[in-house]
Amino acid sequence: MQERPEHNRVWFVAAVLLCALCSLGGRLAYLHLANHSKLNDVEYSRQLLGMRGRIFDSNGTQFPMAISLTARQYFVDPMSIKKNHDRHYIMQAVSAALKLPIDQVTECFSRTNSRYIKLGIPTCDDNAFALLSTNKLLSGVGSDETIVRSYPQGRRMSHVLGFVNKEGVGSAGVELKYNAYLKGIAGLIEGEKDAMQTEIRDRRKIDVQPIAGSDVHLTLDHNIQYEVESALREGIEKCQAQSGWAIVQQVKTGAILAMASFPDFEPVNYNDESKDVWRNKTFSEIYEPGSIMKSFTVASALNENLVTPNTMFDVGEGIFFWAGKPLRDHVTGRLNVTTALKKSSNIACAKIGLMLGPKRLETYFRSFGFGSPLGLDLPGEEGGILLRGKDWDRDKLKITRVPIGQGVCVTAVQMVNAYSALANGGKVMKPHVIDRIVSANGQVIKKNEPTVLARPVRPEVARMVCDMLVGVTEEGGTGKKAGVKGYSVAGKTGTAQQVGPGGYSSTDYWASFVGFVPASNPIFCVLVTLDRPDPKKPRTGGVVAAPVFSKIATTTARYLGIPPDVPEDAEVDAKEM
Amino acid sequence: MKRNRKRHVRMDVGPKLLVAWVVTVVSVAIGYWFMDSKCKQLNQEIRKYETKYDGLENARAREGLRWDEKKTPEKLEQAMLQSGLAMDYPKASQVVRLDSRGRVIPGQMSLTRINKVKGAVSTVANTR
Repeated sequence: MQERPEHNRVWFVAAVLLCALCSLGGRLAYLHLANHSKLNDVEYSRQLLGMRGRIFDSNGTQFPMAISLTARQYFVDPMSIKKNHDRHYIMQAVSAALKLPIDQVTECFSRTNSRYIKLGIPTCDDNAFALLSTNKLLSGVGSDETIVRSYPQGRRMSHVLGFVNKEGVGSAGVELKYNAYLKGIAGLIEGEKDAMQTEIRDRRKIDVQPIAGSDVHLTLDHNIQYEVESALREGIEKCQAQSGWAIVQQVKTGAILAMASFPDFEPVNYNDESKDVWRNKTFSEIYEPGSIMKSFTVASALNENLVTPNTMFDVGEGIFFWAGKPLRDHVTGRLNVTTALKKSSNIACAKIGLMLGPKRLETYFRSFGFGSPLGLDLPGEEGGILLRGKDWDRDKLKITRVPIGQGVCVTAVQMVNAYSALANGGKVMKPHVIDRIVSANGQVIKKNEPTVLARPVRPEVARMVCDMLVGVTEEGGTGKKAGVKGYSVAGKTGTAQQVGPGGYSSTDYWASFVGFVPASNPIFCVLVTLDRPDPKKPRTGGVVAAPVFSKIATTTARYLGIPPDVPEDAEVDAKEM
Repeated sequence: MKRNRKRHVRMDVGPKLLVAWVVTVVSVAIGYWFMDSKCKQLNQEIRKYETKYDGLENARAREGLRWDEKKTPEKLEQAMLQSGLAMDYPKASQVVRLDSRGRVIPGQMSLTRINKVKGAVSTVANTR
């Protein structure tokens, strides 16, 4: 009789457990068979952002020019603000955390036309996230993870780097051209989440990690670029030019060491400037080069053995008629080819052009890279304008104008590349700004090797022209202000009238200087062009562009550690002794 | 009144085989539950570390950017000016160029200066 209550207790417990089990089974069956939607709600999915590759200058990974960071874009959904939460308090908390003006936040909160109203721009501030995510009195405010592109050096190389649009797609410069390499591949995590909306890690079904984009290494050096940009800005301000550009190119490889175009823009705030400012004018703007073209006319004639450096030309009283039109010159009397180049004689060079004839002149100019794009690894390269075949016959005047840089349009890159060819023994190299592309795992995907495009003139002819161009920067030459202390300089000045609606303008000019250093063993070539210097001041290439060249060449030669080739110190020492 | 528990030790709750089976099943279930909760705990920890790693990685990238912004040529120049310093490239006469064996490259401008300094030193030595 005493065992009976014990049995009862055991059976009672068993019954309770059975009931609990049955109810759990019933709930399970209900969830599985009748209410799928609740189960579906537990699905968790998160896209992992594929970081965009970085852009570096030529100093390895020391100096990133463009990098990507994760950031948070905060938004407000006015409909989701809980009734028991103080709207005014939320607005103030958001304003303080995101450092936004209270008026702007109030305006966002008062909008009713959307449930996704962005609060400012994406921010990388961790404190903002901590403040907003832990505050229990906030509702209706959320954030999305996003990627922002940053340019640590601000405006530097802006035209080469380009920019990335709001959708994260490269839209100009290297960012556009190499978007396929730079963009990362997003990853994905899929699984289940708990009641707190947090992922249940062990229920993860898909776990694909993102792949970061490849890194692009440029041939440009940020230190040289800084000097070039500073000198160019100063030059533009001094002569009050409308715009200007400068390029520094390595002679032997064709690698661009610096490329600047003004006005420039801030890649992060690219919308602050007009589309015209986004254009890299060093290869997207074509212009009549003027006298800097004469070097190629002379080189072509020397290569054809039509002239020698001592061949004499008579320029008379400085006026020469051809096809019924006069060609004026500031030089008079008789002069040889070397002096013609040194003093930039129009008539002598026009006569050399006549000796060559249209066919040969066109062939040589095309071989030097004029008239078609050079295949620069940046988007939007122009080819320039150079008369073709029968076009020469249609305008008889052209054969006296093209040799002096009129009636022909080139890009700055074509011009600097052609001068580099003269400095490089006549070999035209392919210009490039990309050195290599390296994948996220360190593998070199693409490497730009120096490529010879053409060899228009013999090495000895190229050397001869180089020697003749040294005279331009010496006493009596037009580019005396381009001199570099300790180094010999070979170069050429150019001042070209711009074409307006009624013909050539008498006020608007292109002032240029192009040359290479050291002339005895050229290492780099520099081109400086200033667009429309102040007409009230002296505006020739020798006056406004040559000093900018001098400054750039001086710092570049010293920075690259090029041994001086002019015995300046030896002379000083000898005097001291 | 105290109960004498020893009196009720022998109690028949069912067939022994069933009891053994139930005990085994319950043990396995408890073991499974324990392992499962441990796995969950570890997974949550892994997830926490993943989040922390991402956060640290982002913070590192941001610090990197701040550092990169500070070492731009103009910022360095500005910092030096604030400290009353100015830097320029050395003059040709101040540069000594050596070949791979460490010998002075002939034909350099600096050689003249080196020889001059050498001569001066020897003159001083002779006058003593």
